[in-house]
Parts: sequence; structure tokens; C-alpha cells
Amino acid sequence: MAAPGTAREDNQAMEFSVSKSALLNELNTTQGVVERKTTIPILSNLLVEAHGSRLTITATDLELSVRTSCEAKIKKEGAGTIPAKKLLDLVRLLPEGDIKIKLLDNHWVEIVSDKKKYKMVGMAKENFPAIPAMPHTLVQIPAETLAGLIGRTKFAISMEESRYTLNGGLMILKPDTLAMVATDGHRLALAETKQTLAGLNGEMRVLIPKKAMDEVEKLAGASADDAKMDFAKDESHIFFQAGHRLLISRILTGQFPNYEAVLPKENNRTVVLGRTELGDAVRRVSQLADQRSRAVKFAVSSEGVEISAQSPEYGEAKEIIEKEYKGEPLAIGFNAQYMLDFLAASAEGPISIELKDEQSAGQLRPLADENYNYRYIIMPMRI
Amino acid sequence: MPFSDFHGNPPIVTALRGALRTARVPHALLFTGPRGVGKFTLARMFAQAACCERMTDDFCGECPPCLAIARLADPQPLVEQGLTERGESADAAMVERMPLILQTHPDVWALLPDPVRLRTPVARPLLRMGQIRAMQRAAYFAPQGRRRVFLLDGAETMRWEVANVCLKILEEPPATSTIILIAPSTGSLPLTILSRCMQFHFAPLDVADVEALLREHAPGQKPAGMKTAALLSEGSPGLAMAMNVDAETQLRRDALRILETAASGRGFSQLFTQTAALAKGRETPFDQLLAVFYTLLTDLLELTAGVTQPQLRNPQLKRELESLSRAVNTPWVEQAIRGIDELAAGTKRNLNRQLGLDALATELAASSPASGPAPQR
Repeated sequence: MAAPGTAREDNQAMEFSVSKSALLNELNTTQGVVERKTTIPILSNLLVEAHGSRLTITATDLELSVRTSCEAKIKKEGAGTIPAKKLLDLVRLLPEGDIKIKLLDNHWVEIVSDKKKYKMVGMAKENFPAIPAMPHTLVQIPAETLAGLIGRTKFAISMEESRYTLNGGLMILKPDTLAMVATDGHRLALAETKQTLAGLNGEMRVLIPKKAMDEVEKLAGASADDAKMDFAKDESHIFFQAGHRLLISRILTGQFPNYEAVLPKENNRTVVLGRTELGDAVRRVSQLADQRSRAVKFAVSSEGVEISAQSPEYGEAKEIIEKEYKGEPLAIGFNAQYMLDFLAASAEGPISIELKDEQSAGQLRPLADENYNYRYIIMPMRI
Repeated sequence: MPFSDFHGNPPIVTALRGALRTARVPHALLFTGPRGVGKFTLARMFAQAACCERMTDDFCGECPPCLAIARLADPQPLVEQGLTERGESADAAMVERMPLILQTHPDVWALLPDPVRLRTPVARPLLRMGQIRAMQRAAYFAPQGRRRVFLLDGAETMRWEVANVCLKILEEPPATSTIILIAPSTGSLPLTILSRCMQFHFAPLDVADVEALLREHAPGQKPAGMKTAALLSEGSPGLAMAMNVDAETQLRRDALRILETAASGRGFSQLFTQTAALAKGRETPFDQLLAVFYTLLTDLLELTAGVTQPQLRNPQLKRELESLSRAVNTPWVEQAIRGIDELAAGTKRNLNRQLGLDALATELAASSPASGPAPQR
């Protein structure tokens, strides 16, 4: 594998000049990846490579890597490593204009801006972990779609470290749809959208680690509105490329739970509420809910929806939203935070709450979301 | 630098190579055996073979992964780098947040008991929660190459709650990772962990083999020194190679002198000076000191019990041991061994080492056959 990260030049020299804004832009992209919490010194460094007319910057925490590049005037081709945090802090403070960077002996790096001169000590570039090269692109996904799916599901990812297969989102690619699922065992968010994925034959499922989802979202946010991201995969990595920026993540192994079995099928007691009125009511009522369980009771009857909560320490709250409802009355408890997480991610407009009975999971769907088929399943609480 | 460079315990090497060849690698291995016998070395070689680009059941030692992993052979500089990176004044939370991890190849990690500080290391380094949690996070990511390998040296230093997190990984083992736990004996690990590991016990090598190894790898030493080193190492080539023969002989002489003084039943002031000198000696860790006592007492046990052809562990002290064995009897030696057992258990509870030694020595002096009526045989 002759990836640029593994290339070893004999000449230790490297010299180039680059504009501050271009460099700062790329350095900012790497910040989410550079590991500050490690005793492996090389991981707090950036690999900087100067070739042709481009400067390539690579950062990794061993699980997630990012490679990005910008235009630069290369005087001498070469490569070296520079401490990531210090370089960013310094470049931020430098005035606009060209910055000259030169590799000296013993991994020292000289940074010159106008008449200001700085020296930092890097490490041997041979110690920088080898980063796999991007294989051929599998499919192209609009950046906006990807960001939309991630934004609608990411919050449901488990924070429990021991439940490793839940520490990521499952992306499901089919020739004509793209979906993403995330769950922590108490709730599940599923977003699906119509998207023709040319070049895909069957169904493909990949588990994307949370940190990678954060970075893909950022990359997508930084891209132009109609930009497309190249997606690729090999045995152990997934790749997302947006223009000159490439994100590489190791795949999470293990079996994602069979989420289809969780999706409710007979939730026929439906009531529709506005997103804002529901959110506001839940937020107010949850103030007086039990602080640990955050349990809020939803009682649906012909009078509408009564949202109530009580805690021995604080007191009780009750709000009634008048709505049309024709089914049998029902009272069910949900975690207020889970509900608010969903409301924050869903589009403005009516929200359909679909229930079956007190013991079964409830389903929430925003009806006004045109582009995404978005479902959110919450397990009920005993109240 | 393939597996054929590993000396001793051929059945273990064969088993590991077989597992690699058939791609049926266990998710957890436990290597037990005396210090310096080559547990970490073989674990590192296994990691190389699991990641080698050219071979599947052995390693070339020349491809980039092999070369990178080979740097783990001497972990000390990496530990120093890591501790420097974390800073000398790291607090307890920082030590957990920035776990000490040695990696020279993205797929292979070595976790060692964390000495916390570089200049003033803690007395008993432990494998910490942060390290095991970091391993837990990493273990479920797919490897860049064929397999991720985690070397857990000093697995016996895990506290029970740390061991339980480790157990969690072994209970739901990631398909693409192998964890190699390294400990002196199976007794130092929870049963729950033992039952989930494929266990390999490393037997000591023949003294002659160790001597031959020394001649090959450390030709600078004097032949007599090599012979003594091979003997004193008790079949651990790693110990023999790192051994300072003169210091080691002196240490044994000092330890024996304490036993002699205690056996004579007199001269407490002298006894306490001797124990103080020994307990304060910074170069030898206390558990190694206890191991020295064990070897001396084992020799004494053989001599007092009248074994016909005793195989002494300290043949260079033969004369002194024989004369001491005439002054004591088997019950006294047994009492001393029990005393050392207690001391060994006590050190795990942060017992004051010198006081412990003092108490043991005075107790032995009081019951010495020379100090009063001879105890019944």
C-alpha cells in the first residue's frame, strides 16, 4: 500500500510557504481528530507533507483519521510532523499573509511569518501511523442528506462504553434509499430518505462510530450546499471524501441489534400535536419531574392530552393540550429528555404520537418532514 | 528474527503457530511463568506474526509492521516518552484520563503497570482503569491488518474492579482482537478471567541452555559469571541476561546473613541493621527480595531434611548453607517459610517492609534451636 502517509523520503528537507487563511482552515478541520488525551506522543502531532503544489496534513487518533490539503508554494518536497495544538494556536495568532515552514535537523520545524520566527520540535515522521489510502469510490452521497440523517439520529447513540455496538450509528445503503439508525436500548431513531445510489447493487450496512459521525457532520457542514461526498469501504475502514478532505474511520465490529424487530406495527392510537406546543409543555412539566428518571406521564383521552409529572421533592405539574382523539383513553410514561432530544432534531410542524398500550413502545413521527421518513421509538416508563 | 529465535517452551510456540496458521486464534491468551522466562517476548513475537505482511504463522522481522512492533521489545523508552507526555505532576484523574499506552503499530498495544511518574515512580505500579477502558474502546474497532493484539503485562496488578472491566471484554470478545494477559501465576487472577483465557504456563529452561544463550547474546561476560548467572536465574534467560552477578550474589549473601543471625538467637542490634540495609535497598524490589529468601530457605529445607543429593539453588553459598543447616532444624525452616508467606501477603496491603522483616527475624531468633530448649523434632 503506497499511501502518502507511508511514503518515506530520504531527504529530510521540506520547505514551503502557505497563506495563513488556507493553513488555518485546514488545521481547524483536523482539530476534532487530533487526540489530546493520550500518552502516545506521535498522536498529538500532525503529519505534514509537501508534494507538487500541495500541502497535505494528516491527523489520527488510530481509530479516526483525517487527511486534508491546500495550495502551497513548495520549495523543497518532503515531510515532517508538527505538534498539532501548538501549531494551531500559533497560526491563529499570526497576522494574515504567507507563512514559511521549514524542516530543520532533528525534527525541528521553523515557522516564519514576515519578521517573526518560531521553532517547534516535531517527531520522526516514520513513527506516524500508516493511514490506508482511499479505495475506489462506492457511491456518492449528497453532503446535505448525510448531515440530515446524522443530525436526526446521532443523539440516540449510547454513551455507555460497555455497549460497544451501540456506540455508533448503522448506515443502511440500498440502491434507492439511504437510512441511518441509532439506539441506546431505551430509544431508537431511524431516518430514511429516498436517494438513488448509483453503483450499488444490493443492500450494504456499515456501523459508523460516533466520533466519525461527528466529523462527517462537520465535513458536510463545511461543504457547499449541493456538494457530494464520496463514500468507500474496505475490510476494516470506511472513507468519506468531501473535495480535498478525506475522513477515514475504522469500522466498529460486532452485531448491531436487530432494530426491525423493535419497530412497532400496531400502534393505532394516534394523536397529533404541534412540535412547539408539545416541546414547551414537556419542558415546563419536566421541571417538576423526578430528577433522576425524568418521567413524564402522557394521558390521552377524548379531552386531549394531559401531560403531568410529580416528584416527592418538588411537587407536581399538569398541563392539558386540547386535541381531537377518538380512540380508547390511555396513560403512558416517557423520559422527558428523550422526547425533547427528538423534538429538537425534528422539523417544525405537527408531530404524530402513536401508541399501543401502557407497556409497549411509543412511536413519534414528524408529519411535516418532506425529505425524510423519520421515526423515533421510545420505551415506556412505569409511572 | 522469527519464532525460532525464541528459546525454550517449544510446545507453546507450536500451539501459537498452529492457531495462526489455521486462523483460529483465541480471543484471550494467558501466559504465566517466572519472571524473565520470555512471556512478554513471545507475546510480542505473536503480535508480529499476527500482523506480518509476508507470513501467516511466523514473522519476517523485516516488513514495516514487524519492524514497528519490534520496538516494543524494549518498552522502557516508550514508557518514559509516555510519562513525559503526561507530565510529572499529573493528578489521579489525569492518570486515568491519559492512560499509559505503548503503541508502535496501530494494531498492537502494550499496557504495562503505570508507574505514574517518571522520576518518582509509585512503589507498586498497577494496571489502571483508564488503560483497560481504552483497550475496551479500541478492541471493538476493526484492525488495519489481520488482527489487533493487546499485551497486558502485569495482569496480576489489576484491582478487582479493573479486572471486572477486563472480564467484560473477555465475555463478549471482539472477533478481530486477541488479548494476551501476562502474569507470574494463575493464582493472582480472578477465576472468572482464568476460565475465559487459553492458558500457557512457561516452564523454566535448563541451566545449561540459559548458559549457552548467555554465551551467544552476552559474550562480554566472564565464563564463571555466566555460569553463576544461569544458576541464579533459575532458568529465566531474561533474568540471567539482565543480571548483575556480583550484586545478585551479594544480595543473597546479605539475606543469608540475616537468617544466620536470626538462627544464632543473639545480636538483635546487628540483626536490625541488616534488615534495615536490605529493606531500604532501592535497587531490588521487595518481592524479588522475598524470592531470594525463598530460594535460600528451600535450600535449607533440603539440607535439614537430609535429602541425599540436594540440588542447591545457591551452590555458591554451599558452605554457609551447610553450616547454617546444622544450627537449625526443619520446623524452624518451615516457620521461616510461613513467615515469608505472610510478609508477601502483607506487602500487598502496604505493610511496612522493614517492620515486617524485623518482626519475622525476631520471631525466628526467639524460636531458634540455639536460643533455648530445642523444639521437638
